[in-house]
Amino acid sequence: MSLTQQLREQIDACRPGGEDLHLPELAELAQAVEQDRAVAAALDRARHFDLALANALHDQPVPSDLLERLLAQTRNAEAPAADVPTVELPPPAASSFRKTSGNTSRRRMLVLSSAAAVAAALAGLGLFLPRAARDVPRDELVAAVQEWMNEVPAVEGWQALPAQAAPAGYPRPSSAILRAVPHRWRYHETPYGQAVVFDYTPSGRQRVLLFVVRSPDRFLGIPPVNHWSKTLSGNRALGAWQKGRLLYVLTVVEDNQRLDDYLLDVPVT
Amino acid sequence: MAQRSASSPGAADTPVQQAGGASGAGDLAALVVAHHAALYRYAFRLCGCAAEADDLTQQAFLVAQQKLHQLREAERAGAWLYAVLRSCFLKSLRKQRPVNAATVNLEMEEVAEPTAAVEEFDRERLAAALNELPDEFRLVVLMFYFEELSYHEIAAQLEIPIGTVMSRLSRAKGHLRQRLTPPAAVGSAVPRSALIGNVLNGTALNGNCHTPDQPTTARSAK
Repeated sequence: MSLTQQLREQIDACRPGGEDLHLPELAELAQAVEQDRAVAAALDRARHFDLALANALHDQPVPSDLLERLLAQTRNAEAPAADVPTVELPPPAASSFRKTSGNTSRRRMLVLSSAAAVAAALAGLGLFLPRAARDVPRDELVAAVQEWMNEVPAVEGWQALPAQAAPAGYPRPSSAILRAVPHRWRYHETPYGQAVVFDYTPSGRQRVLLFVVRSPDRFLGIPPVNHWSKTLSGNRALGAWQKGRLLYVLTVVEDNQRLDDYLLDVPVT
Repeated sequence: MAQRSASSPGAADTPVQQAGGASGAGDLAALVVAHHAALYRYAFRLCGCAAEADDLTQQAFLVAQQKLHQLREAERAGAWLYAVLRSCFLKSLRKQRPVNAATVNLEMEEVAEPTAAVEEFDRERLAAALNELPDEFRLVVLMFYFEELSYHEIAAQLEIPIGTVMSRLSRAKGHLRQRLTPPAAVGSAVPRSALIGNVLNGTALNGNCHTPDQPTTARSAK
């Protein structure tokens, strides 16, 4: 099969999963797809490749301490905000490979670099000091949990239960609260502290994970008795409660199952 | 009784999103939590290096903090952060070196097309293949995959002609196909060394940053 360069470029311009083929500028390709099975097959292969490549590009481990450092940078940069010089954000449409705009651009870069250096130094200093407990809003926790769900690998780092016992400092909730039995566990770093993840996923079902986080932080609006729950995008849900320095978060992908299938309410006396 | 607050798929989960705008450090913290991983991955693919990606991510959030008031459309927070990071990356590029895209020679006719479905790629080969691309090709292809911009939008963002974007996108993707598709699944294959040679000959590649698990690539082969 031999595609013209123009058709090849148009195939490559189609975004995976998009409706780009309906764009007027790709009308030639759309017509070719209808009339030529070879072109249609090439487009199909290109879309498969795009999806696989997009997944691979996003499959990159993130440093475990990055979030903590970024949050420290945010906190530290907040305090002297009045002293931070205004740095104009170039419009996103800025040309990628134009020549540098000269001294002004370099000066801005210098100012930005200095500010970044100060912030980084403050953040670095903060890392060596005992971390003070902080109040964590529910929305922040929800956003964090969604990251955790994406970060926990399917295979790596898991220890089988009951052969490999989980650390004693991370007790699992009783069956009166969580109606299931985990079959493996692993460590997971969170910005609030070390966590142990228990995998409760039943055979043939979507993921059910329990994060037990040991943290000095206070999670606002997370009850000590029973749980607070929230439905997330992607058919996912979480239920959270805290007990002393332990935060419990159960996450469930609600395909053919629900959070309520696992978490039970305890009568409050 | 457990209380349950529902939100539809894709609905707002952060204070910024719920408020419909951003105004403070608390909002930025929520953005950091929600988007730091995605931004780091984008930075890593742009730089090809963990240390530079780390710096770039921090720099992007620093700029974002200063410009948070510009964020008006809550649902665009991720796209806005991507654009901020890209802007920081381009600034660092301009500072480091000029790149002459006209000298890049990725022969379209020689780029093989996959004839079989590919489910996953080797991580090191992917990193190496990306790093072999000249900066301007890599940027376009990453804007396509990470920012999910159309070639029209990429052209507008970079202020370059649409034809140039289509050409770079196609050549870059062709190169990645050539490097990542198993030989048995490739149609009109051309010796890989020839293709890589074409990339190397015409580019001013940047950076000397290597991670232990990252093979030496064209980036250091000046």
